Amino acid sequence: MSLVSLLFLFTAVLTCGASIMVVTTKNMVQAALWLVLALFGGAVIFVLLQAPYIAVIQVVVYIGAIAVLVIFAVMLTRQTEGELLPGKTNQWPIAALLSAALFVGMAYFYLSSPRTALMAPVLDPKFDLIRELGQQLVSPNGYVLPFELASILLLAALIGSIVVAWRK
Amino acid sequence: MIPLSWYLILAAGIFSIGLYGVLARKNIIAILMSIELMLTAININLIALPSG
Amino acid sequence: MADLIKLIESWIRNLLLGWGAGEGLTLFILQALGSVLVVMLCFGIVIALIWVERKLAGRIQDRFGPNRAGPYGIFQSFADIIKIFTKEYVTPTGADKGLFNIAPVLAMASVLAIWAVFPIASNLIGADINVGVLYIVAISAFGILAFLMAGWSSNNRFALLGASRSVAMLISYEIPMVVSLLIPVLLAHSMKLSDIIKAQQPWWYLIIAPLAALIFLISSMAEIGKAPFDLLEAESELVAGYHTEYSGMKFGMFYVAEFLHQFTVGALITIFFLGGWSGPMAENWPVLGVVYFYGKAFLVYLVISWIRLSLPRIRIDEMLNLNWKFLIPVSFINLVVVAVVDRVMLDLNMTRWMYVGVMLVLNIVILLAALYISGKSQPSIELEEFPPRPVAVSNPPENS
Repeated sequence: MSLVSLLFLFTAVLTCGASIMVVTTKNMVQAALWLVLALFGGAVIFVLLQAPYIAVIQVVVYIGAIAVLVIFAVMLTRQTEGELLPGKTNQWPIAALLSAALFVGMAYFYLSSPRTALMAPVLDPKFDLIRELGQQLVSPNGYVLPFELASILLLAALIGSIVVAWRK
Repeated sequence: MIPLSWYLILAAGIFSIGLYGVLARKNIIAILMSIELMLTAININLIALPSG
Repeated sequence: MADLIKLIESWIRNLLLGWGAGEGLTLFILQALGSVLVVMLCFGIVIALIWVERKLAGRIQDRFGPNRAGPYGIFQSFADIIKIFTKEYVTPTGADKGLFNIAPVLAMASVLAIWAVFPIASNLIGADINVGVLYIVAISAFGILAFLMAGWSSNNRFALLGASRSVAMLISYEIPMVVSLLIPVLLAHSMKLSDIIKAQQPWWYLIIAPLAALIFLISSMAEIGKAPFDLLEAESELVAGYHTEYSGMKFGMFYVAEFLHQFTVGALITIFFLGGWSGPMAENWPVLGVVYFYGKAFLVYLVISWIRLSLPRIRIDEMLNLNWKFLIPVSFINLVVVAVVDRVMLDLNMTRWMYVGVMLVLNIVILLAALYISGKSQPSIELEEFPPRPVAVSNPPENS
């Protein structure tokens, strides 16, 4: 059991544990902070997958912006103190059964296919991922069109949110 | 070192936990957080598959 | 003798290998030792910095600083630490205990984690990662969470108000900070911190991109919560902001984290704009590189203290106006102009002197244009001229 495998197992247990706490705890602020931990576990997984840029972007965007937004939303819509409503709907056994069945099905499918037993190739340390990513994002043979369309979408969302929140 | 199936199973696990959260929670913000978990699992799949 | 640090490192490595430790374990122990040394040095520097700040504050405000505890008051910080250790931890009722206890630890950890990527000398760096600049931005995002947790878990209206205001300020000022950080990345063609320092060798980025340095300084001062952006701990407004309910060492952690963050911002400015460890004879003698790095960071720390002790606090709406209406447009325009001009001059193949001159002139032009435009948009206040009216005399004249 190499060190990297141990690290992966530790991170996997941490992420799954934090996700379970997100979906079960009744206190919403605690749920938001467990979500931060689960997203941070995801960022560590990205580092293990030799994608450090995506890991850092996950922390900046997901934890720094989206999780903070969720915490603000939770704080502004607080439940009354001392009266935490039951967190679960009435159909929670069916939901648990459905997600367990989905997980078992996917796990069986992954384990039985020979293609998924491959190990990840170790990238050459000289290979500059950032330069490659930048070139792919702006080269006409690369992904410049989806990149520009995504920027226009974000601009539309920004202008829309300002218009919605405009106060005459 | 780490087979691809481990990453995919981890992503499947987080996805199904998020799915349980979406289906079984009353608070709308909790549903949003579970959707975020599902999106994280999808991201892990997206990055893991080309590497393996 | 030239490479003192490498000498010590190879001595420890041979010692450990002689005792029979494996290769991986030796590397791990050496790295752990290095990180513990850096952290201890940070804490030691903070103790000295608190003394310097209080003495400087005293001198600027025309009084002595602390001068009782030892000659010139140098043991004042130790007295403060002993006092803080002996205080009782008070947890308010209804506070979320887990969050309440983790918030100061997270605030301290998010500042210490930035030190992992700093190139302290030419061959001394914790982790030379490819995305060093983005890592620094990411860890700043973690610090914001610590303030939110502290404010929320105190179960105190004022703490929550202070935390919400401070988080609004922090996430607003992240944008000009990141955009002005992009300019050294652009000029050095790399996000690695060691590459950025190597690219500054003939000319520091303070001279090529002074406007970026200024914007980074202003937004970093907002990020660390130092005056004039003092809202995070506005003593006369919010009791103490997000750390109202903390006592004892938990408050001590917030306090030390604040000073360490100020010093870390000083270190960041030296890496990005002042050349980091570079100086005369720094490549041959890495120990000199360490001295230059810490010396320059200390100088920037003094500048930040100086600004803090001279300016009053600005209101929250004025502060947000400053950010969204002035800093963000100026930083974006600066980024676009620097990018275009850098590319054009690369194609034109200019000499280094002309390049530096053109960039400097452009920065000054952009700053003056921004100040002029923002000055025009303010309505000018007409001051009425009143005749001088005596108010404190025993027999006032007839026509008053």
